[in-house]
Amino acid sequence: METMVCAYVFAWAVVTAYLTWLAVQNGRLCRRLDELERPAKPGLSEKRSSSKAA
Amino acid sequence: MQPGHALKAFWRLVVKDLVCEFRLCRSWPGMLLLGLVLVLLLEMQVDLGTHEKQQVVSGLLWLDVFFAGTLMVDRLFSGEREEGCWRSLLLYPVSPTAVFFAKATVTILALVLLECVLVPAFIVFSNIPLLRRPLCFLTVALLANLGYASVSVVISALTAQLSHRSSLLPLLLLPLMTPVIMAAAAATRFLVAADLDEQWWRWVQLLGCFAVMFTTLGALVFEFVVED
Amino acid sequence: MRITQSVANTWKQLIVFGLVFSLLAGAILMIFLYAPTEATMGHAQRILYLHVSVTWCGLAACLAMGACSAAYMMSRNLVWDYWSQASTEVGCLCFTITLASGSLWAHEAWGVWWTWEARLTSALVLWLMLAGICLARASVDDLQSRARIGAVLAVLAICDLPILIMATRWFRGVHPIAPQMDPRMRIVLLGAMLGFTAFFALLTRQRRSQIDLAARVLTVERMGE
Repeated sequence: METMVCAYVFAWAVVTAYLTWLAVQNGRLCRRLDELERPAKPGLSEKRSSSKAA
Repeated sequence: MQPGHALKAFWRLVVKDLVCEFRLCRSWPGMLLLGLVLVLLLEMQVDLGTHEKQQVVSGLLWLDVFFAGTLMVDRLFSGEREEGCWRSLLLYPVSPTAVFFAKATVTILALVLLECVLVPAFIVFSNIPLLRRPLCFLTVALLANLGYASVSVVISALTAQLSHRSSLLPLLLLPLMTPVIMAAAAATRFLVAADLDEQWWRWVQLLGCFAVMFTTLGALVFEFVVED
Repeated sequence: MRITQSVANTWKQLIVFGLVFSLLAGAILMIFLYAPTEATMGHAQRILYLHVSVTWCGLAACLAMGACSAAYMMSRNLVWDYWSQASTEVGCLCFTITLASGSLWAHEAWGVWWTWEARLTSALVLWLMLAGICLARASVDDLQSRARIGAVLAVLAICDLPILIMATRWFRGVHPIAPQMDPRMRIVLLGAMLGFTAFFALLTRQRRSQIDLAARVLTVERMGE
C-alpha cells in the first residue's frame, strides 16, 4: 500500500513541479512581452514631435 | 562531386589532421597519459580473485577507452575553430560527408593507438588474457571504435559552437555511447572466458548494428550540423 | 470581431481542458475504485497502471521528438523545433515517472530496487539522453543554433528506442512481457492509458505555445536592440 502511494505521490509531485515552472515562466514571459509592446511614455513622444516640427 | 575527388579530399584531410597532431601534440599525448593513469587507478582498486576480475576487466577497459578518448574528442574541431580555419574548411569544394569520414578516420586511428597502449597495460596489471582470441577481439574493437568515432565527430562538431563545451561533451556522449560500451564490454567478457557461443555473437551483432546506425546517421546529419 | 474570436478561443480552451481533466480524473478513479486488488502483490500492483501508461506516453513523446526534429531538418521551420523541444521535455518527465514507479514496483515484485537488465538499462540510457538534450538546448540562446543542436541530438537519441521496445524479446530478462490480466484490469489499463495520453498531449501543446511565446519575446527584444 505504502509503495503504491509513494509511486503516485512522486508522479503527482513531478508533474506539479513542472506545471508550476510552466506557470511561472508564462507569467514572466507575458510581463516581458507587455513591457516590450507597451507604447513609449508621453514625455518622450512630445519631445520627438517637437524635434520633428523643428 | 566525383568519387575520385572526394577520395582525394578525404585523404588530404586525414593527412592534414595527422600531421597537425604529430607536429603540435594537441591531444593524443594527453589522451594516452590519461588512459594509463586510469589503468593504474582502476587496477589498484580492483583487488579481486582471477574469476571475479575476469568479469570486471573488460568493462574497465572500455570505460577507460571512453574517458581517455573524450579528451581527444573535445579537441577534434578546436584546431580549426581557434585558428579561424573553420570557415575556410567549409568553403573548400569538399562535401561535409568527406569531412565527417576524415574526422572519423582520424578518431579511429587515435582510438587504435590508445587501445594498443591500454590493452597490454591491462594484461600486465590484471593478468587477464584479453587477447586470448586476437581476431575476435579485433572485430569487437573495430566495431566499437567505429560507433564511438561516428557519434563523437557529430557531438564534437555540435558542441564546438557552445560556451560550455567541455562540460557538455561527456554529458552528451556518454548516454549515446552506453549501448556501444555495454556491448563491447559484454563481448570482450565472453572472449576472455573463451566462451564464443550464441550470446557472444548476439552482443557483436548489437555492436555492429549500433556502429552501422551511428555511422549512417552521422554521415547524413553532419552537413546539417556544420551549416552556418 | 477580435473580442468574439478571443471569447470563442477561451471557450474552446476550457472545453479541451475540461475534457482532458475529466479523462484523467476518470482514469485515477478507475485505478483506485474499479480495478480489482491483485492476489499476489495486493495494492502495489496498481502501480502498473501508472507505470505502463506513462511509459507509453514517454515513448510516444520520443517518437514525436524524432519526427519533429526530422521535419525541422528538412524544412528549417522553427515551429517543428518548438514541438520537438516540448516533446523532449514531456518525454523526460514521463521517463522520470517511469523509472521511479518501475523501481518501486520492482522492490515489491523482485525484492530489488534496480537490476541491470536490458529494458531497465535502455530506459535509463534514454532518460539520460533526453536530460542531456534539455541541458544542451538550455545552454544556447540563438534559436536556429538551439534548433540545430536539438534536432541532431534527438535523431541520435532515437537509436535507443528499438532496443527499449524489443529488449524483452531480444534479451531474456526479468521484466514482464505481456502478463495475463483480469478483464477489469485490462479495461482500467486502457482507461489509464487514454487519460494519461490526453493529459501529456495537452501538456506538450501548452509547452509548445510557451516556447513560441518565448521565441516571440526574444525576437522583439532583439528588434529593440
